[in-house]
Amino acid sequence: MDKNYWQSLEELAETPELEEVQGKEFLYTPEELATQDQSDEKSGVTRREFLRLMGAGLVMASAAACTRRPVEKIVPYLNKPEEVTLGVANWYASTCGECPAACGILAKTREGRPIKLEGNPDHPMNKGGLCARGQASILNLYDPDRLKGPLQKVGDNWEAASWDKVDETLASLIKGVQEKGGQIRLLTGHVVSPSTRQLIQEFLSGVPNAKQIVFEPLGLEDLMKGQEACYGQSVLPRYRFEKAKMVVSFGADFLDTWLSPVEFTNRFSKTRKLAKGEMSKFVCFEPLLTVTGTNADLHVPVRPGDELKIALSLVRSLTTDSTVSSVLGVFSLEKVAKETGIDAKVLQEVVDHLSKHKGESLILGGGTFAKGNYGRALHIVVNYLNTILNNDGATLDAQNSPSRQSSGSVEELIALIDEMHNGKVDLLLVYNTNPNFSLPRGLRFEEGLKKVPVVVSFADRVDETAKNAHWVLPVPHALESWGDAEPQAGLFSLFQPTIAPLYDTRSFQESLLKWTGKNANWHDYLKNYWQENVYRRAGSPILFETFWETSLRDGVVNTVKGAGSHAPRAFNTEALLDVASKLVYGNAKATGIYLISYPTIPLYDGRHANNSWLMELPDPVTKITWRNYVSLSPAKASELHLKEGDVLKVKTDQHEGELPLHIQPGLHKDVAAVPLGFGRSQVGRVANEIGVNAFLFGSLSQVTLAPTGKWIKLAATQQYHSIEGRPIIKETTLEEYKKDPKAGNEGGVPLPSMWSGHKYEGHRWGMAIDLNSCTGCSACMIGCQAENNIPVVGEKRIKQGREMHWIRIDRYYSGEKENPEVSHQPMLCQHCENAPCETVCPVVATLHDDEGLNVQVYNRCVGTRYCSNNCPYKVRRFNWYEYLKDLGGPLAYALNPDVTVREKGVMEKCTFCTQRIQAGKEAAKDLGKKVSDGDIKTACQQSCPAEAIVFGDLNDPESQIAKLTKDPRGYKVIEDLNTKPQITYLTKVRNKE
Amino acid sequence: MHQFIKLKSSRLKTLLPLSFIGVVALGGVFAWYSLGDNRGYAPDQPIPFSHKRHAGDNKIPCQYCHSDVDKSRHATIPSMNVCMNCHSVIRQDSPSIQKMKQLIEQGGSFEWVKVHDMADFVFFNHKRHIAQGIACETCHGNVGEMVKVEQKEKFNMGFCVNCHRDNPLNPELKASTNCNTCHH
Repeated sequence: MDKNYWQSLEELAETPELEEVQGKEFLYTPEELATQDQSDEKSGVTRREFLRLMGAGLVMASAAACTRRPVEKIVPYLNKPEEVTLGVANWYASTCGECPAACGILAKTREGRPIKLEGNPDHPMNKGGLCARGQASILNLYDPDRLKGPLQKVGDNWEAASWDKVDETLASLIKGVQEKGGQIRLLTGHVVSPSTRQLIQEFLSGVPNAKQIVFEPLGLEDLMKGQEACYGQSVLPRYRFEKAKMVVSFGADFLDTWLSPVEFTNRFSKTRKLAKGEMSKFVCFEPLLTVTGTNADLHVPVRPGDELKIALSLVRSLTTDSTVSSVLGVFSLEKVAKETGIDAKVLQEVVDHLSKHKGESLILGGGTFAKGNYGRALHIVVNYLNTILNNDGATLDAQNSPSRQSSGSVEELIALIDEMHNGKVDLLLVYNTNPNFSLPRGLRFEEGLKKVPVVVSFADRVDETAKNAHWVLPVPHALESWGDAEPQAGLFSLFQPTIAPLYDTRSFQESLLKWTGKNANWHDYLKNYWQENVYRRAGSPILFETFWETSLRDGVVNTVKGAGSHAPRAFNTEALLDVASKLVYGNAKATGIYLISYPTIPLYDGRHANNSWLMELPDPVTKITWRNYVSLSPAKASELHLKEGDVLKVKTDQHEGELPLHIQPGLHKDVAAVPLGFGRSQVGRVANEIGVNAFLFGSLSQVTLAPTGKWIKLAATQQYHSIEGRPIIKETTLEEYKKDPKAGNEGGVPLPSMWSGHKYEGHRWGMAIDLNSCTGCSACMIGCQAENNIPVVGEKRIKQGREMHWIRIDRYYSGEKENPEVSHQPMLCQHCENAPCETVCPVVATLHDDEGLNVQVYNRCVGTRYCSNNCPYKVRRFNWYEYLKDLGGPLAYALNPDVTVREKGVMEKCTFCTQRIQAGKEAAKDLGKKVSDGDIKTACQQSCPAEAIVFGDLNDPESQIAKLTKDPRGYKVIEDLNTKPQITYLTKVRNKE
Repeated sequence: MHQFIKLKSSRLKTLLPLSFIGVVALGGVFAWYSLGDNRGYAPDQPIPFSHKRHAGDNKIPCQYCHSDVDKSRHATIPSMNVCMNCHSVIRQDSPSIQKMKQLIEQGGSFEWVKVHDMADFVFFNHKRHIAQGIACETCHGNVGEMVKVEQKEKFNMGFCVNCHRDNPLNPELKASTNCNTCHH
């Protein structure tokens, strides 16, 4: 297929700047870089000085050769814990505390400190995968900016307080408030823990007038309200993507951050594996381009507010109810198509597919722009579609085991703010939520907070809300605490401490227990809750103690019975008619640009923004790191005569701020999109004052954009990886694939080689990456970073093209400029048979081993960088600095002791996780057996929720990898160079006409 | 006189650089052979622990104290409570034992000085070598005769690789000489 791929708009436009850049090894010379970035330190080393320094270095080096290395000490344990063997990892099953999805995790600990988090393969939700944020949360544990102990505000200053003092003061305070009949309010984020919910109820029932308010900035309240209106039941269904052959989303970014993204990525990609030559079809109507949208077979940019009309037009075409169709008479496909600027044929195609897949399709609504009444209305229409398509109870489960991953009420929050302003709240406890950051200023939360006599914040730092509190009581990290979660009804998992608390912290639950005068600690309370609820529910025949131990070992207890499908629920058609009658058709000729603030995979709502791995993780769509920006469509940008990097003044009725422009294909032209999570002011040294807080703009407000005359270079990791028209991505359509599985993968004539080739008598390691199931979620990048001690380089170095990720995800656009098709391609060292890097290394620091690995020997490398220059895949990374040398403080605990920390001047790259291969072989030797398929998993493969990466032994004909390598879809990237990579990519197949 | 000095200085002109080059070359050769060669290194330890007394005279097996050497990459220095297994009864009057007891009561631990210190980019695995039946003495010398442990072998890459290529004890065994066996 002859298809024009392009990576950046400069490339598509073939600007002179790009032509100049193409074919150039380095984008800028060092001088150009120095002048480009004024902040760059001046390095005024002249040639003469350089020679002098060289001479001095030589003398010092020879002097050093005669002396011993520095003395190293060994400090043994006083009493070695029984379960610890030095040098051998212990794994603990626990639960991820990063977002309310609460996936199951396994924490790898070495000598009592957690060093890596992986998804729990036995957890029925995430099945071994874990998202980038979950894996990066290990850094949050070792965050040096965490509070070391409780704080009390004295005057305007914070003073350290002891827990005894805290308990004494607060217990008497609570008593005082009780006696005078005052009001206590507990403001929390979504509580996914059933035992904590019970404890909160007990705490509140002991205090008259007390009340809990839940605020989750990205909560799905409107979805539940929609469910209530339609089915009389406020519930969050569990979506079963594995059963859906046709998915239509109106803005629900279920592969990004929506509800349970790891689970959804896993299930959705199961339908994209082309098992039996079939795959699902996914149509996405959304105003911006999310990762979810990039994976759609058909991505339709819509003006925000048009989703409802489009959904109603689908209802009109699909319903058999004459009342509904007569009320919706105006919403004919043609009319709506004309109104929204969408091709009527596209809508007809969606209708046709949906009617073909009754009971096996799934319609979703959501997104940060569909909030409030509009969001509720959209969900009602979506629910109706699911009901008439027989999906209710089939592809979505609202009765057996519905989701419990979100809650919260904006109305109650607004009522609370009112109470605070009227001086009705005597004591406010804030736990696991940060409204001062995530609410627009117009709601005047902060002013209200200042009127509350006593505010107690349970946070791990003095965050934006805690700064107005009177007490900050630091809570431990999830990896230091006990706890439980019930992400789906009947599915229970446990949190267990994997390290003793690093600081003087105490869990929120422990405090509540203390203040209610209960004579129990949190661990016992939790255990008791499990005995009375989970144990009973599981109906387990074993003793509770054994059950508890088993549950801790497994991390998860599934008490859900039944297949997960149920009879369709009765639909209240009134709700739909109500929506239809209230929607005034045809007046929505809105002009101007809407601002959409949206969550991204790296930062979510910004709650854990102080994490350098996540700040440096490129956004999967824009590939920009370290700051947020305002995205506009190419058409809008050229209409406004703006270019990439222009700093704009972005102004809504709520807020104004300065953001650089990023031109993003796939956006609707009336949309300006700003990622959430940036602009923290009180989070710590990594993320403070970076970017603009997009929550402040309000959701879906009209925006004005004015150039400021300033320009900045955005730290994007793509643009300089030009593909130069080579066959890097291969793709086809489902129809073509069915005719010929080799479709899109033609060519590939065997090329002659001067080399005799390598012989592999034992193992021969290889990898296969399925481009059709990779969603671009970037979990592998963080998995690799945690496993291989990969440093963070910072925004300035990223701009110089010096990022260190061993695996990156290249994102390519193809097709039309305004709404292109997107391909994600994980790119890592290809471990070529005829490796171009190996032949140019003057010191044989990179060479082939007898198992097919292209190995890099750090202690031989002298840093010529010839290998990197000669690598056609540009996957080699050079240590320009000693990035990890001064990694003082607790962050150094996160390093993997099985992997060398590389020095300055050394080249590095993907090793296929050679330490994991060693460990796998060793485990097999211990058992006296051969390494079997699946024993060894690379870090990227392990973390992939989509199971798109397969690693194994090519010499084992029964292995999955050996079979995938022979798949007709399999191809090697730029195979015309005859590098013979060990990595096989499987073509992308699009389910489109 | 004048002549003599002149003659000498012209000789110096050639001799001085030559001798400088010679010194540098000799230094280079010396550095090449001694680089990483720490044989004879026997640092002072916090207490004069005698391997001769324990492993030699009293024939305590190595693995009684280094109990995880067959389970882990590391040989593992025993934790303090292992010492106290015997010394809560034996030789309680010795000043070193007194010192140890005092330290334990304070919740402290000895800071032993590492004798066999490999570079940070080398990953040696004790477990695999023990599993192959390689005696501790092969690399560590006859510790049972050492009052103070000292490094007996060179512990450079040649020392490892020679054995990996041709194992004198088991010529059948061809251990891996891939770089990433030890460097990752």
